[in-house]
Amino acid sequence: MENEYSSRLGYRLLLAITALVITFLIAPLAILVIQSFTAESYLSFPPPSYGLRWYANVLTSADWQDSAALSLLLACIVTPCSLAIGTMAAFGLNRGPLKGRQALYALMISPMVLPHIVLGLGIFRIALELNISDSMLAFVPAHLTITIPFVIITVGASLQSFDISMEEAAQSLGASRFGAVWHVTLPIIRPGLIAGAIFSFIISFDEFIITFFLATYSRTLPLEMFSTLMFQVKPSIAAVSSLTLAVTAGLTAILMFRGQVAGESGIIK
Amino acid sequence: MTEANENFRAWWLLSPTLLLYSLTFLLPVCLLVVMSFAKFENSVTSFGFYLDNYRKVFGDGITILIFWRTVKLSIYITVACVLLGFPVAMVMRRASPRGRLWLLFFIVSPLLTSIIVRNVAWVLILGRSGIINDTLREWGLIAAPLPLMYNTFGVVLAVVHVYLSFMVLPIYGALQAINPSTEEAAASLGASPLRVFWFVTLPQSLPGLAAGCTLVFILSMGVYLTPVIMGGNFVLTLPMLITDVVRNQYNWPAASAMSLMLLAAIGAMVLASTAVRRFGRQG
Amino acid sequence: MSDVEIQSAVKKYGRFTAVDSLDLTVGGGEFVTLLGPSGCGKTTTLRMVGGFVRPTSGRIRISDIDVTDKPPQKRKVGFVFQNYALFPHMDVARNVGFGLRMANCEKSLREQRVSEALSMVRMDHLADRMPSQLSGGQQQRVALARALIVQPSVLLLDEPFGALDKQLRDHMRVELRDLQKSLGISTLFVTHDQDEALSMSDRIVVMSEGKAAQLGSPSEIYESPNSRFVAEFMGHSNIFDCLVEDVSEGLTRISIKGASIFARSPGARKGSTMTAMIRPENIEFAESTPGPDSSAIAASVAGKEYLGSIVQVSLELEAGFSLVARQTNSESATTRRLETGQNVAVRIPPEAVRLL
Repeated sequence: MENEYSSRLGYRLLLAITALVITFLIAPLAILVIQSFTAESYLSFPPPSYGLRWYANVLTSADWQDSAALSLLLACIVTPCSLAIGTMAAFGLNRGPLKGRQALYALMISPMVLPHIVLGLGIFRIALELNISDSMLAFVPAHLTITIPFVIITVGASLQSFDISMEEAAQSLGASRFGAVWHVTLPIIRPGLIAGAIFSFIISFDEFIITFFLATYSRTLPLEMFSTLMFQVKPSIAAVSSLTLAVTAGLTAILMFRGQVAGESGIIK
Repeated sequence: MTEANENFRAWWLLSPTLLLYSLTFLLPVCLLVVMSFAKFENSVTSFGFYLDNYRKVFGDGITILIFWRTVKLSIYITVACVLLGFPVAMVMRRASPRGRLWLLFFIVSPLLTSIIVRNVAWVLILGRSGIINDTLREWGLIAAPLPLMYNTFGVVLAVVHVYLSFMVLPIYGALQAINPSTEEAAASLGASPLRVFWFVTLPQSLPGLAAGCTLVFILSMGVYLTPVIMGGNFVLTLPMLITDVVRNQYNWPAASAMSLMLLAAIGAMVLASTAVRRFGRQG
Repeated sequence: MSDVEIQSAVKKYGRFTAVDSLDLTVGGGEFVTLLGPSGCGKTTTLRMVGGFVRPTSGRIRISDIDVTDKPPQKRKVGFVFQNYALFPHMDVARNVGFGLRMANCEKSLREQRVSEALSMVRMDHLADRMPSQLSGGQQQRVALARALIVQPSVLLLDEPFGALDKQLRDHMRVELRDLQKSLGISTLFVTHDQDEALSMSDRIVVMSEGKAAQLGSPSEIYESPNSRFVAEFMGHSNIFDCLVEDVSEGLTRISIKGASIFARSPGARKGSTMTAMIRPENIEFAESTPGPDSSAIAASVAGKEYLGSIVQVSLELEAGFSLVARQTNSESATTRRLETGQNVAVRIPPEAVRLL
């Protein structure tokens, strides 16, 4: 009902709920960030005094540094691999044989609906058998398994709206098959590629349960945060959370303000 | 560019993913199936075809209880997401392009922020010495802290915060696809706004609603981190039990059987959703 | 020398045959149109020449070289797509220069040839625009320049006017034809629009179900269709089954639902059943009932349609079938005075009747 006579009251009710929901989504994060700037040794809201004390504490702590470095390294290895492998798969699904394509697509994105706890359990077992459980050799493939479906979805959505005659035009103008993809297709589907890369990075950076199973001595940032949180709720955890938030929110902003999250990344189907 | 060639190229492009999946996804799941039929006695796993684990899982009274509690929790979460998410999707549909982008930003940005960070935020708010309890005590309204977390309420609240986007986006997608003329037609035939919604808008948005519910339900069934942080040991869910059984008891066969139980519940949900979508398509 | 030669080309998709042993030769700068309804195989044929579809059997030759097994980039064809397929991430100049870039053409030479190509299509002032900033006609000119800059041996056009409104379409038709003539480039053109095909082509291939139903000049196709399908597709409305009653030198007497009509059409055999086509422009009538001895047929006016430059009248003949007649809308035209329900005498001259 979008006409000008539609019920004002009903719409106001919807607006009120929406405002409530958005407060619900955003307020906790805002409060978290504000609390992270406390100068006290305990958390309270609003903080009696402000300072960068806990940021200094976190940034100079060896534990936090090591775990952040490991998480960043992991995400930086996972992202390009995920983008390359996922894009290849998206092309294969898009250009491949018509028969069985839907079933194949379902298989390719199925790690998304498989609970990560089950996935983590299975991968942990395999890694134990291969004796690689607490290493990058296990972390990287495990993370790839959950990031690749997102690349397949985002790049696949871009490819679906990509007009294949562009590639044909390039070929009839003398470009090789690969040249046509390189000069024409990839630049045009760039929004999908960027979305896929950002999803990969954030998901890998944030991954908890699978790494939780695999790691014995290694500590990624989420693992370090979890063990700190289980031990004691200190202002340092708010500072670390805010820093993590800054990284992911920055990447999200890139996604949003290029206007790609909604349509082209294919989240909305 | 013969068809055989095209086929070969497609499989070649898919091969890295398939190779990876076979090691990290297909093989592990198969292994879990095999292990669920193994026997675990005196910390020794012996492979074979035993139904001991399933007998234990269904018979010990505890596991099945925790399973149903997990299902119930997931249903609460899903219903809460529908009640909060549907109005937002409706507003998004009616908003101006600019307003829509902002709403989308608010809806999507939590999706892309770390789950653990969001849980930390809720601990700071709902905890025993969290903002709410602190404030209420300061004003003298309560003597002892309210139990806002370490219970089902806290877990549901925090999980809804994490998964709400997965409900709003599919519903919004379905609403977007509705031709407004169908609603105008209903109105011109004498339907009140509420009846237009009930008879025209809602049935057409059913596919999106089903997709959102499936997604949220599946994710909720498998969620581990949030119940641990928000529920402590007071809200024990199946994923928590599985983790405990493996990490502390090393009882892989039992954990495998529980995992398959989880998968079965998820499979049932997917089938139900497919049925609803098919029904929706037929009208 | 032929620029394009299609030799018994066949394309099957599973059990469906899209193109069924088609033969066609295009050369010497002529403009050949593949005309037919959707699904007749015309676009598949064009795409086989372009190298996007591989024939199931048969050969494709371009400039006397067999290119059947060659990919598009090795064929030297200029292809203009239905939606132009301009690269949205490149400006006009880079779009047009793409083919030269692929051929590793040196930059200064490339720039010079791009500006030549753009001035050829009168787009030189918009070289740094992006495709999304161009109108439909401008986009089409860019697509044309882009296809022509690599000096292809043949120009392939896939319904290039489909996205344009009528006025622009008529204008671009003339512009494209002039350009094609001045370059002397052999052209294969696909359309489903008869008027477009008739006005532009040197030759037309009417296609039906993957086969060439008729091949000929526009006037041959329009005036002497060789089958009922071609006649109907070219927009003829008076098509009837008839019985050949008598054949004498020059004249053939046929009967349509019992009404005897004379045709000046050779090749008929007495007693056979044929298809008669009566051209609406040639039907004459008077505002009276025919006398008993006249060759005219009694009819009544069932409806009148005013189409601007012409007036079209549907006539209900006493024999029990209806006929469409057309007259130019001049001051003296009989049709201007006709009213619905009025009785008229219709005369069908033998020249107006064609037996298929």
